[in-house]
Order: sequence, then structure tokens, then C-alpha cells
Amino acid sequence: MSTNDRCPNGENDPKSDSAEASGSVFWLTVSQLTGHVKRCLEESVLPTWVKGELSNVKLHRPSGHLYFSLKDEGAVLRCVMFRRSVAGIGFEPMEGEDVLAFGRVTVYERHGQYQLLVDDLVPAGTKGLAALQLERLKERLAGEGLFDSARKKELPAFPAVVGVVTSPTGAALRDIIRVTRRRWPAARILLSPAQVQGSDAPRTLAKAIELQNMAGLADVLIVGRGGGAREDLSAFNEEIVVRAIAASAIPIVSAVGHETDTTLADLAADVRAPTPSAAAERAVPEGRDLTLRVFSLGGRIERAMGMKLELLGEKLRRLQGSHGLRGPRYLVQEKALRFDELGSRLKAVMDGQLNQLETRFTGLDERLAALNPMAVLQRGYTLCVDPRSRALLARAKEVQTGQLLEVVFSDGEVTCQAIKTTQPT
Amino acid sequence: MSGDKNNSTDIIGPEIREFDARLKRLEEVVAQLERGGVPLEESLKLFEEGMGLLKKLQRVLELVEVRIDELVDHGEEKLGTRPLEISD
Repeated sequence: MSTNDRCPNGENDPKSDSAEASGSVFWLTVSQLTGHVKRCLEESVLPTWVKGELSNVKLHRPSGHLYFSLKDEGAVLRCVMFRRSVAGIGFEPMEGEDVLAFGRVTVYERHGQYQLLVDDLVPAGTKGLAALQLERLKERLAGEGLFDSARKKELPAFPAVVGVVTSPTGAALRDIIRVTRRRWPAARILLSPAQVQGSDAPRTLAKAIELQNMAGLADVLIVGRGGGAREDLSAFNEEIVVRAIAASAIPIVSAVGHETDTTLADLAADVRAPTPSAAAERAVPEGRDLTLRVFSLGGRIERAMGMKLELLGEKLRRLQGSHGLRGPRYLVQEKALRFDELGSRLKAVMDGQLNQLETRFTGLDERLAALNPMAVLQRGYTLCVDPRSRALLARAKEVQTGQLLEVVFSDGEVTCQAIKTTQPT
Repeated sequence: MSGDKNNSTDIIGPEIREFDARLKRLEEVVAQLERGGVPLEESLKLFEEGMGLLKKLQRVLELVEVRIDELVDHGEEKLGTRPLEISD
């Protein structure tokens, strides 16, 4: 048997793949033809609501299944409703009554009959029918997994392009622009215009979402409209719109502009926002927070480097002190040259940054001045040397108890004696 | 894309998409410098890298004008953009 019987276009003749041949005569078995009809009907007729007049209503006692027909002037449709569904209907089906039945077409091969397998049955004049139909659609799409939390995409933290699907003239667009201007003005807004109410709304909304995905420019997509009456939201409950949202590769924030009603579009979106302004707030970061964060990092890197420089100055002072006091100058020259090179490189880097970052690095000059060991002494630091060798004493362990020490201040020296040495472990 | 001419956002777009990674790297660099124990030579390299990152982040944050465009469908899978006029 063929696995790709294509209905309902009639392109596919069942004879071609499943017929038996005897000479030049072809035929199908009854089962083959019926099987083909079954596949055609069941695959091509989607579950739907059908309106008609009840007739031949029979409750089959042992099974609890309900059998009936729906008819109008031109046709009759056999229907069956299984016990579990029958239990859910809130009225007694009467002969001649006008009803709406929801179900899908099936073919019962054994009797050569097609029928409607009914899930739901309501009197035609029922109030809240729209809500009931919406509930059915919701169940069906949920059954397909369109609202699963596992398929929700994360929004990018810093979008460069914010795609918007809404009316070009509505308040929603202006709200989104206003919030984006205030929070994240680096972004570019890319509108894909659509109608948000009226009979063309579902088609134009779905198309606009598809176009944004085709263009592939947006990092995040806001789909919605400003607040309004419940009826105005109906486009966002249309299957075509819900499917377009679910199929979008770009993460979507829904903004249908209604606090109380959640539309199917909201359920399919990656993030639901109550209003277009709130959607924009979800879609873009707060630039002021980021500026503060980056500013504070600038301050921290400056302080960290400043401390390095102080330690460096300290080291140099020690170096010059010891060698200078000891004797031959050339011993330190190499180190001093190396230090100069690093110092000027640092200064070049810092000067360059200073010009661009202005006030952030005020105080650097003082830090550079601190590299001069004399300046370090002037700020109150002291050197400690051995009075006989004039060698720098840089570690506590170099000092014996009772030893004489020469402490060098910026304005003179003091001779001391070590009473006790302690070394933290 | 037709109709997509030069524009700051076309150049800045990649900069914004790098923003996250750069911010995180800058935080690493600063933490490393603050931790101490890094040789001077390396500190200088980190400092230079950090300042470069700061400059790039700053450039994004200094942008003040949102650019607003409209996606235009030319049919046959051809798309373009054009500036959108919005009356306030």
C-alpha cells in the first residue's frame, strides 16, 4: 500500500499503487478502496463545528453511546458520541432540535459509512458559544504542545533590533517607542505593520510575524495592540496567529493590552506582558542601570591599578634605597630603565583613556607622582636600613632582637633598637 | 536587503550583540586586578584590555536616538526596510 496517498486533490489514483492486474483489467478490493476513502476523509477534514437538526436520537443502553443524525434541507450526517462525551453535555437532546456538534469525520469501514465522531453537543441558541469554541481550540492547540513551557525561548539581554508587530497608527507602537527611547536608545525598532482588529487582522498579524522571521533582523519581537474591549482581542485568539507565534524563531513578547483576559496568543508567546509598555520593558534592558554598572567597573579598575602602582612605588623605593645606599649605581640602572619603560607605557595608556573617559580617572597624576620614592616618604612611609652596611631591611626576619636599626624619614633618620620581632605565619 | 543604507545601528548592531560578553569579560578583568598577585606586566595587559572594553561598552550606552524603521514586503520573498515617520 502506498504511504503517501494524497487527498483531497484527486492527484492520486488509488489504482496506480494498490490495484491488482489481470491482463489489461485493473481493480481494487473493497477494503482497499474503503481504506483509501477513510484516509482521505480523516486526513483532509479537520475537526469542526457542524450545525443541524437532531433526528433518530438513540441512546444505546449497554454502552452509553449516543447515536443520532444531523440534517438540514440538503443532507444528513450520521453521528456518534461516546459515553465519556455524552456525560459532559448539559441538556437532553430532543428530536427536531437545532444543535451544534463539534467533532471529526471518521469512516466505519465495516458498514461502509462515514460519520461524525462528536466530542461536544450544544443547543444552537446557546449563550457563550464563542467561549466554548475558544475552549475547544485551546485544548486542541495545547494538545499539540504549542503552549508548553519547555518550548519557551529566552529573551536576549541586550537586543540590537526590537521587532514590533502591531498597527502603525495605534497607541501600542508609540508606547513601545517611548519606553525604548527612555531605557535602551541604542536599539533599533523595526515595525512590521499589521491590522489588529477586523476580519483581515488574523491574516495580517500572522503574515507580519512570518515576515519578521524571514527578514531575521530582530533579536526580539513584540506582538500586540493597545487595550480594548474583549471582542477587539479576537484576532489574538485565531488559530493562524497562534500558530505563527508558536512557529517564530525570534523570541516573542505578547502585548495584547488586557489585564484580565489571556488570549491564546499570550499562551503561545515566550513572555506575556499585560501592556505594550510592559512588553517593551521586558524586551529591552534599563540603560541607566547599565551605565551605573559600567561606571562602577571603571572606578574599580582604576582603584585596582592605582594600588598596583603604589606597591610598585614601594618596591622601587626599596630597590633604590638599598642599592643606592650600598654603592654602585649601575646595579639599579637596568631595573630603573625597565621601570621607566613600564611607567611611560602606563602613562600613555592612561593619558589616552583619560581624554575619552574624562573625569573617571582624575587622581591618576597623583598616583603617577607617587611612583617617586621621595613622594612615598613624604606621605609618611619610612625605610629601615642596617646602620653598618646601610642595606635595606625589607623583612622582619632580617632583624635580630636587640639589633640597631636606622629608620629613614623624608626629613631625617632615627636610630632605634629592636626589642622584639614577630612574623605572622 | 534593499533600502538598508548606512546607518549607525547597522554598525552598532554587532556592538550591542557583543555587549553581554564584553560586560562579563570586563567584570572578570576587574576581579582579577582586584585579587592582586598578578605580575605588573600582566596587570598592564589586563588594564589595557579593561579600558578597551569600557570604551566599547560606553559607546553603546552613549547612543541616544532610537532608530525606527518599517519592514517592507516587496513580494517574492524580497524584503526591505525604510525609515518610519511617527507623529507624536
